[in-house]
Amino acid sequence: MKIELSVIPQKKDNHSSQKIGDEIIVVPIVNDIAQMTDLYTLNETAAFIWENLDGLKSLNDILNLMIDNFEINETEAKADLFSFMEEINTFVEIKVPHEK
Amino acid sequence: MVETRLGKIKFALNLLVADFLFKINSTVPFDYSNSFLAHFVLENPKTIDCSIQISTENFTYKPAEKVFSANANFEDNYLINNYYWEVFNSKNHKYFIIFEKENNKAIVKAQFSEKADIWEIFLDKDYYNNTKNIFPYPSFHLILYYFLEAQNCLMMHASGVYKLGNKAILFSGFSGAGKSTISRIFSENNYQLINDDRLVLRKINNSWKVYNTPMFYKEKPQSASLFKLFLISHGKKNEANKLNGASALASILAFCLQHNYDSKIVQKNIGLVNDLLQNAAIYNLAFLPDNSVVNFIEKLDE
Repeated sequence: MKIELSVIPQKKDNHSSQKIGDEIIVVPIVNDIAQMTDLYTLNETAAFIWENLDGLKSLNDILNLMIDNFEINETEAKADLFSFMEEINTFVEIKVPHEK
Repeated sequence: MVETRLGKIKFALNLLVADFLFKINSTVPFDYSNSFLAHFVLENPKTIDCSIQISTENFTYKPAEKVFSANANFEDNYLINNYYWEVFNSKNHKYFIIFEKENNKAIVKAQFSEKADIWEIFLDKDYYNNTKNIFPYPSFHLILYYFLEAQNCLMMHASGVYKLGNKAILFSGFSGAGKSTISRIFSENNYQLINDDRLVLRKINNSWKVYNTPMFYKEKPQSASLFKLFLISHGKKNEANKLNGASALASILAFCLQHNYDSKIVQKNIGLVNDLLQNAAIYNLAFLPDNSVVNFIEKLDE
């Protein structure tokens, strides 16, 4: 999934989530029995990203927060961020900031 | 509790399932003696927790919001592969309809109250006349699921065993993981089987209790207090590691029956499992399919 760092992601309302310690569990809202066992657990880094998908911060903002809060360089942070966004793309909508 | 009149009652039955009392009134007769319900019958109940009224009146259903459906082949099972069902939210109540796959014919409509403690079941006359069955598959399973969900219970794909006077050990995992195998091994080593497929977990007086149900097997009611849960897989040796946090919660939740069309239901289930995990330890367990696993588990954490 190729997305620009300038985009602003926001969580949809197609799931329910709960923080357990430093981790988060995400359960999809489904309407079919085939999806009954789908759910996600987010480790500390993923949970941090998830909690910052607030519809206000851009991916670039989140990237900088990751670098500030974890012992991680920009390359690693970018890889983690894009990988995670790929995993959870069904729970997120992307807003493109208006050009000035 | 107000009971709905659907006609002259020709058959009545009380069932005790997971310490809840179900009262069934039907306008058509039903021979339950050879059914899965037989061992769960209770005479002279004092209070009723769930009222089920059954009739063969013609039924219609108005367009309503469909919130959940099950139309898939999961197992090599005649029943599952020949019927499907859908759940609807209408203005005043919820209902599910079971259809025959072959001709999409609705054979039962079951409408239920907000708390799923009052049910009106409308059976297709032709279906009843051909089968004499008042609970076409999977109607009783769904009644049980929705009632128990409203009562803050969990239903889980798991097997469970206990020793007399002791607490229950549960085994869960995907199909083929070995739930039936490991519970059979324990049964052969002086453990009592609660059930090897579906269990109800209910919190009573601040502790979690495990029950079987009259869903798939003809067996007597069993229950025990919950002790430990194991997520199992076949292994080359017996080994276990304890799970904590979100992984533990997700592992249990994944094997609970869930019709997660409502975020409130999801949030409640997360809370229930989180509470359960404050009272019982959960482990990943790779096991050898022989008696050594019994000794291994009995000595765990000693």
